[in-house]
Amino acid sequence: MSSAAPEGGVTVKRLHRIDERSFYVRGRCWGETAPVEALTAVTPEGERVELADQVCQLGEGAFAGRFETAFPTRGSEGWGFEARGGAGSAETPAALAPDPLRTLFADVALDPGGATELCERHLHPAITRLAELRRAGAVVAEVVDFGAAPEAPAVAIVVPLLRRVDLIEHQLAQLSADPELAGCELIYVVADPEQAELAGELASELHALYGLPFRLVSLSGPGDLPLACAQGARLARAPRLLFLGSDVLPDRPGWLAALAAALDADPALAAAAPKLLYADRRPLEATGLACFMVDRAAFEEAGGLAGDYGLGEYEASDLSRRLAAAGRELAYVPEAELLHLEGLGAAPEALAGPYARWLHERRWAGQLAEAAA
Amino acid sequence: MSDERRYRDRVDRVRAQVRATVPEGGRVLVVTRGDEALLRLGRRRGEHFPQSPTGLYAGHYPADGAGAAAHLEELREAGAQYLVVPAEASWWLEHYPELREALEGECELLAADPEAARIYALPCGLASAPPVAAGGAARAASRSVARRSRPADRGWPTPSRPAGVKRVLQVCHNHPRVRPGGAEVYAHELHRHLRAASEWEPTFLARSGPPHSPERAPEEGVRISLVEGEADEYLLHTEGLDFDWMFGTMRVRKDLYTEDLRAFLLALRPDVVHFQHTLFIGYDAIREVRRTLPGVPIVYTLHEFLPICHNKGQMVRTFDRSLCEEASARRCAECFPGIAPDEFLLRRRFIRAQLELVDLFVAPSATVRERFVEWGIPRERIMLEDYGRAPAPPPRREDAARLAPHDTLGIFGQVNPYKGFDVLLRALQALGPEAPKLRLHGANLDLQEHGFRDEIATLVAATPGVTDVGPYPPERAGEMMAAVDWVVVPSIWWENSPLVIQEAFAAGRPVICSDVGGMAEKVADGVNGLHFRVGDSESLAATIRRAVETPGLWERLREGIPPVHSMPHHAAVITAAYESLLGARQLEAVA
Repeated sequence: MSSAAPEGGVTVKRLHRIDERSFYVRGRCWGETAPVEALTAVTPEGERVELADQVCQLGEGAFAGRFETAFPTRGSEGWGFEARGGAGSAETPAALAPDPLRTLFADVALDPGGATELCERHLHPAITRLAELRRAGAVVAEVVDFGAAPEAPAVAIVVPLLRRVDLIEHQLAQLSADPELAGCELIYVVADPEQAELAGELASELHALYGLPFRLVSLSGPGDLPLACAQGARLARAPRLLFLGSDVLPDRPGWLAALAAALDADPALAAAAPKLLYADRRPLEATGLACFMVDRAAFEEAGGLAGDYGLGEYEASDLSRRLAAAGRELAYVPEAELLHLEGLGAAPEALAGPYARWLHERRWAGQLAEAAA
Repeated sequence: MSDERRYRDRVDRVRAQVRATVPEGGRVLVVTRGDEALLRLGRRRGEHFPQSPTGLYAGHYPADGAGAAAHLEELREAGAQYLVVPAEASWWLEHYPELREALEGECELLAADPEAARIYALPCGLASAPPVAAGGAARAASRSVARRSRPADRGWPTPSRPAGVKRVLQVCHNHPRVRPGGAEVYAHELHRHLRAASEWEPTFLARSGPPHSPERAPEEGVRISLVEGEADEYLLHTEGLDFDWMFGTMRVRKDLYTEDLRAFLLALRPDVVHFQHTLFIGYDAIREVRRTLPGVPIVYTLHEFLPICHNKGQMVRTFDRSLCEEASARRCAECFPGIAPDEFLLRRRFIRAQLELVDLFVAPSATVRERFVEWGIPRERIMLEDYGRAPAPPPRREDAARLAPHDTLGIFGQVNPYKGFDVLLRALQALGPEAPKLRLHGANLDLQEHGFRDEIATLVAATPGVTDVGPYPPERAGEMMAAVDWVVVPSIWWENSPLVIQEAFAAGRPVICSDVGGMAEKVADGVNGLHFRVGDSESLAATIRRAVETPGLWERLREGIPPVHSMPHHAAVITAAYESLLGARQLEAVA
């Protein structure tokens, strides 16, 4: 990749693989003021792909977008890009870079003010495809039960673990003192396979010390937080699910009963969310999956968690809206207070934030406008 | 399915079958090839069969059937109640006919699953326990196990004891023989006193290992061993580097609690467990006691603010050594900018969760009690009770009542940045050539950082009239104090109930101390000592001048010294508290 700015040349800033026939590129044709007439990618196998109509022209020669090849291409080296415009033509070599999601999420910022061509036609399909691949690669690899869960649990508490598996210890220290946990099954899902072994060792020692039964689930490939929640939910037996962040601690006992009581009181309700507080006791605006109770049947009928937001912030809202479409409401239960310790580094990086917000607005624009009016 | 996965499935099935068959607390032998996973049976104690004298996997199969049967009998006599023969090991029953005969003749086959295991009840195992029921049966079973469970070669306590004798286990972070520090000296004195009294049989479990002690465990894998020459004192060997200061827990090897400590507790069966300190042991030890001995009262003495304050429990700000009035996530992160405030909230929650299992806290000073009440421990759960001191030998006649001029100062105790040695040395420098003499008795300076050690050495060298006496054995404190006129306690942290004040009073010496916390609480200004402004060497210099130069002041303050809280009196208060907790437990049990 060239970092210089040759007159009439093309610089490829990013080139990522989405799958074996689709790619994402961002770069700039230098010396161009008008849209580039011809931009060609040459795959390592020699296939020439015209990009000018496929990618998004961002002005002043800049371009970004997803493109497809006719034939599968597997190599990461040996790519070439040619631009031909008023300023002449030149070819630039390029190679695939790792971590496509990072680029895709960052590039949402290139599409400011909702000029959605880049998001709609390029980023969204690319991210959706990567999410599909990720889901397919992160199935349940192992389930270990530490102690026996109650015969007929009332609630399945599903806790996804990202990076900080040591938080199991802190949560057990709190939860084991809570008598209501006796009626729950507790399911920890390790989202990162590299942490699975450590989690397993820790879980065994902690179970011996705390005695609270729980189940430890590990995945076959790297999963994000909502994916870990979804996999945990599939293993649950209880009629209610409670998604709980590993960095969330109950402020005082009674929270679980308060959430359950809200659902018991009104059959129109399918989900309940508590009041979440920061360490300094300021309330959070939205709870996301940090603490969200939902009726399992309604959850399954509504299609479960959306797999393409990636962050854990919008899935609960998205689910609530689908539940609402089926006539089931969400209860806000401020009597149930929990602390959300975001500073512990157990939440995913916020890279996906702008994209998730865009996607959420795209899906629910009508309802959001209604709510605002 | 891979062989590995299949084997794991089988292990899981065996464990599930054992859980379904054997009551909690049962002691279970499992025929293994050394796989510890087969021994993880939740609340049942899994052991290898065959096993070494220390309970490890023997490393080889029994030579023949008679050997296998004899080994089973030996372990049964030592308390084993069940034998699990996993399907993989079913060949044992054919290969060792004597073992099969013993199992078929004397033992009851409780469960048999060709996909999992055969589980036998060994005679006297089930017979001594009531029929399988909920918690009560489990506890009864585990009690009968513990009575016979420990191999004698570990030198562990025997469960037999005279009727009416109750056991208290004290847990301390250090043995005073290794490092004399206030809390451990006191705790050990209490232990010795209880040993001499008849109604309570005390056991002292002191943590040992780096950094306090360079000594390690006597042999690899042994984490609890007898103190040489003592029958009721044990060392708990932990690795200082494994200790997580932030959360007060062992970062790795938590089986310290669930294996070693659990086995010790089950062997000892104390009636009360009294934690004196959990540094380098971990608050988790409290949880282990509660889990393994659910009905046993837990007492915890508060020696400083370690649960509240990450700065070595001093409640002193890290950046300017000013006194801290209140811990909060935000303020703690100001002291430790590299640690997120949320981590401090997590710390507080974690430690609180463990301390909530304590039945009674003992606060030697109101200073400490109030801080812990503010931090969230219910006031009614904290008993205010000062340290008691063993009677000191009477001072020599020439030292008992010193004649004027009263111009010799003494400073005693640990030298660390919070003890104010520098404040005193600077005060003496300010007094110039007229300054009184100082006898300096400092301990454990070697545990401090080089910069601080150098600072103290430079100050000592630059201050005239200082005699650096060095550390002293705790039992000679009285004698050392009697050789000075005034004992100075210039700490810049709050202090709790400094033993040095009690020692000074026992020796008949008025105290000059900082005007805060436990010092101001224990020394009455103008009655039995003098206060100066904390951390202020000029204020201390003026106070020293007044002390030395005011005629009759020393004699008057000496008259105002209260009687020392004696160990017999203190021990009576502490054991009465034990009794009261036991009584409350019995009432609960009846209700």
